[in-house]
Amino acid sequence: MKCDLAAGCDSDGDGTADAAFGESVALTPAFSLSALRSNVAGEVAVNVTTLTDLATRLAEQNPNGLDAISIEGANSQVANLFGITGDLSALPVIDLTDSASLAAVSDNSARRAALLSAGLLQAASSNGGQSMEEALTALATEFLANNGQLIVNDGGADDSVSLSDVLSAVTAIITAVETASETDFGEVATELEREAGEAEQSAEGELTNAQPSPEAGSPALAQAKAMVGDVRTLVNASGLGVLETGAKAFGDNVEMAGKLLEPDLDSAVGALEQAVTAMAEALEEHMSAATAPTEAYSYQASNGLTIALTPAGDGVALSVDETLDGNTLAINATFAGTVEEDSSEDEDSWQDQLTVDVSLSATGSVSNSGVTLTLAQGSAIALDFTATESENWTNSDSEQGWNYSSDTSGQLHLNAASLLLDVSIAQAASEAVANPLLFTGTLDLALNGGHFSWQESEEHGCTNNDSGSVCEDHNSSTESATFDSASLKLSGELADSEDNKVALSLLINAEANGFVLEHNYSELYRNLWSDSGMSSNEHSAEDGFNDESEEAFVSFDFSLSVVAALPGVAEQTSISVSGARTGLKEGSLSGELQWLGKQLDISADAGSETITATNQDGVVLTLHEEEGSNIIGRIRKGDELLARVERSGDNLVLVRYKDGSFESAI
Amino acid sequence: MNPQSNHRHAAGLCQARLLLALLCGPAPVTAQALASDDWQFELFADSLSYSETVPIAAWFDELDGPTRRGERAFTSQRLTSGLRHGPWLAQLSSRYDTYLQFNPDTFEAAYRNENDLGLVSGQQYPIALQGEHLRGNALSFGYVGQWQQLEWRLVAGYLRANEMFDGSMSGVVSDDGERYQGQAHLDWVYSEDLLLDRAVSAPTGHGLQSDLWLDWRPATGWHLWLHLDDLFTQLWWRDIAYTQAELDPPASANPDLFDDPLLSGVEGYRDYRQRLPLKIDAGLRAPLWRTMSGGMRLRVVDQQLLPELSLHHPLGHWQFGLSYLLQADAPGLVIGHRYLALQLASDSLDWQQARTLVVNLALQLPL
Repeated sequence: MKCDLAAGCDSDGDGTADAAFGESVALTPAFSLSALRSNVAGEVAVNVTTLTDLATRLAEQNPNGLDAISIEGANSQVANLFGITGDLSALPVIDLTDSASLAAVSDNSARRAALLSAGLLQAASSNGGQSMEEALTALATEFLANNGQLIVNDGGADDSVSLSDVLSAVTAIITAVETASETDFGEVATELEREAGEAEQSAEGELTNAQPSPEAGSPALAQAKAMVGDVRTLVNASGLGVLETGAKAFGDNVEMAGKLLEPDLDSAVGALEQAVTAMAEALEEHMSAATAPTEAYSYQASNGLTIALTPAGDGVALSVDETLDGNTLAINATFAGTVEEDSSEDEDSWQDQLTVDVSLSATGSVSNSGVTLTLAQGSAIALDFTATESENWTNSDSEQGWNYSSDTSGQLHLNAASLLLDVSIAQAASEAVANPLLFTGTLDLALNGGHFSWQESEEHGCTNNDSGSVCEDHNSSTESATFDSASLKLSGELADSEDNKVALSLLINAEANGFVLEHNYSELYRNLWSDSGMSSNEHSAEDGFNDESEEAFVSFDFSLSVVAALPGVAEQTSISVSGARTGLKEGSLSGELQWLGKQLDISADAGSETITATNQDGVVLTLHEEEGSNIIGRIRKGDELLARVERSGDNLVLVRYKDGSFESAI
Repeated sequence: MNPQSNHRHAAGLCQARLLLALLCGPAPVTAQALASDDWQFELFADSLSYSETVPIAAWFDELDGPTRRGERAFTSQRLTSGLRHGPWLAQLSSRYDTYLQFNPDTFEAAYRNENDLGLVSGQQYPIALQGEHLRGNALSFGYVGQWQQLEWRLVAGYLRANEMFDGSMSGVVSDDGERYQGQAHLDWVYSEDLLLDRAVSAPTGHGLQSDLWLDWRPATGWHLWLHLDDLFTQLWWRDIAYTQAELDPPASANPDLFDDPLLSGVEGYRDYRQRLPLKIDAGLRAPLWRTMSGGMRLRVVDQQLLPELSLHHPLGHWQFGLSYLLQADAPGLVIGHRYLALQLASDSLDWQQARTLVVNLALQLPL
């Protein structure tokens, strides 16, 4: 077997990898994987993975024994647990170490399954001291003990395998695969990375809540009909009435608690602003001092706050620990790095060079009687760049007229910039606030390899002649910007004390691929002056940006999810949208809805005018207007055509099933 | 005389007799008692269209026209040509029939839907609709018998059709402002799915068509008749498309969760027997005063009674008359000749606004 674990494969559990990623690994004789499939007729291919092995063990544990319902129910539960659509054992197996194998399968669900299968094994193996077989058995034992669920976040415990562990392993495997081959997992990678972040931030010890599809084990036609019902409920806006009701109840509480929270929060944020202003003032004084202090000292800021400074090497630690307008401030910040500036100037020019490599991390809290605002450990901003700017000018004045011109140019090379904010806002319970709110959120922004340049020219002058003078003002500028890569992670959760919550998570990765955004601007004013004043004037201007090309364009992929656990809704509901721009006019968009125990993946390819929806049973609905026909879609499972979606008249869409039954889409 | 010359002579004689018959026939067309070796050409064109709601033309144009409250619309058209030799008949006919019965609310709902007006929000529309349609051709044979002054004609033959529908819809629908709701049942067979646009294979129906005519002329100028068309007309369709559908209100416990489809049902193919309604044409024609005669006539089509009064007066070899369809307020013109009878009637001189249109042509030419 080829090793497809990023950390390498330790088949005998001696703590040393026996094979690196991509190398062949000899398995112990005890190592085995299994898969179960029901209602098999004729010759079928069954693909065996770590995922099918877990499903097999889950089915075998079913007290009703092995039958179509227990087998397909187990397969479906494992698939739902990992957000995979389709029949687990029918998904094509991908060799992650072989770029040809990767290129041969573009199906996102299959790629996701391959990554998760490897991630499971890597997460299980990483607990150490176990052969791969033992690790897999330990994983299965824990999985079965939790009735087919995983702990979402085990806080890094060594004796368990959590969903967070699996997704982190997947992220590492993605990096290993993309490094070893030219494969770009695109939105699948972004989606999994976002899910890893969400799992990592989940409360420790909570179990996943994956359920088998209600139609697991049913005939394909019944699954198709169930899917149409799900899509109908989804499409019909008021079909989410249960959610609306829940959202309204939660929203009412947020609104009511928010009104009570607002003055306290305003006060806390105001105090924080005062603290930041005072720290910035203290830092500026410290940096600009002719001789920087080397011992700890206090600085009294102009707003009255006292900042304690403790110099350390190139940096300085700042802290404020005071009470301001009823707010208790306890903020610690650490500034480190260097700022070097070199400038020169003469009669007709100046130059300036700035080299910055700094970081500022902060932690602490501001609290009052109504709210506590906490800046968690890790919140930091870092900048590493070099900038140069210069200007030169000329000036002349004579009887024939006068002229002034200047040229300014500069460039900034950004090695890296990052911002990480980890904030929580906790409302205090009181007589007026029985159900207080808690908001936690993080913002992680990173930019690598940025390059910005700018050039400005201006020329003003007047030329005198017999009838008066001609004056011209000419301004032009060119700005350009590019970057190597950028990423944005944003996550937030708003919850109340009754465990109702709405969480949002967004991850965007982008690359410029050589595209440089340019902005060119020029304008000319031309005025004719005579003795009686201005006799005529002209104005012209050009302003524009350059376009991307087939070769140079900004590519990106993103993944957004919203998870809600609301009153009246038995299970969590999540909506996620992922997309990728892979070419100038190429891209894809997909969405996943997990709602009331069901799952629906919707994807669209730019330009193809085709929308595909796949549900948890592997039933695929393809919507595509067929020319010369009233058929606008087909429903299949595998190669079996189960239904046609047809337009009937102007307003009616019918789904016609292969058994002769039909139903309106809504 | 050689046979070829004799044949040409006979053909020329026939043409001359045909021309004379058209120009100089002495009396209105009536059933002619033929000698056993006489030949006669017959042509009948019968068209009766009637609508109580919109003009007939609007039925072919998305109901776009002025409306009246009504419960019925139909059109029955048949073109028959044939040869009679003595008492024996052979006929070829083409026919087009559509019969619709509905309650006023059904028509209003259909009218508003076709004209994109939407149902009146909150109003309940009880639905009751029955419809039948056929387009086909028949090859028939008949016998014309005579007993004293009573002549009877029985024609029966093979009917073949490739276009039809037959079915009904009942229930109640409403529009709550967001979408249609209601509970209704639809059951129909068809050659073309006009309701739900289902693509179906072309069917063929085979069957029988039969008519019985009784004409009694007890004295000069007196004529009583009873014509029963489609006395027994049935078609058997093999593997004809059908749809059974239900319009159901949301069945979910939560009225906001429209898990259930608004419309659902079953489509397929099945064998079906279609029976066309009997059409009755009965009347009396009698002398009134001097040469003038009067008539009373009753047509019964798809349970709809259409009484008619008429006055006739001879003019040379021709008979001219005026008729009036009481139920439809449709005056008409009647022209008669020994071998020809023609009636045109309409409730409007603008045919596009007409709700009743009658065209009857009978031509019986001895050869």
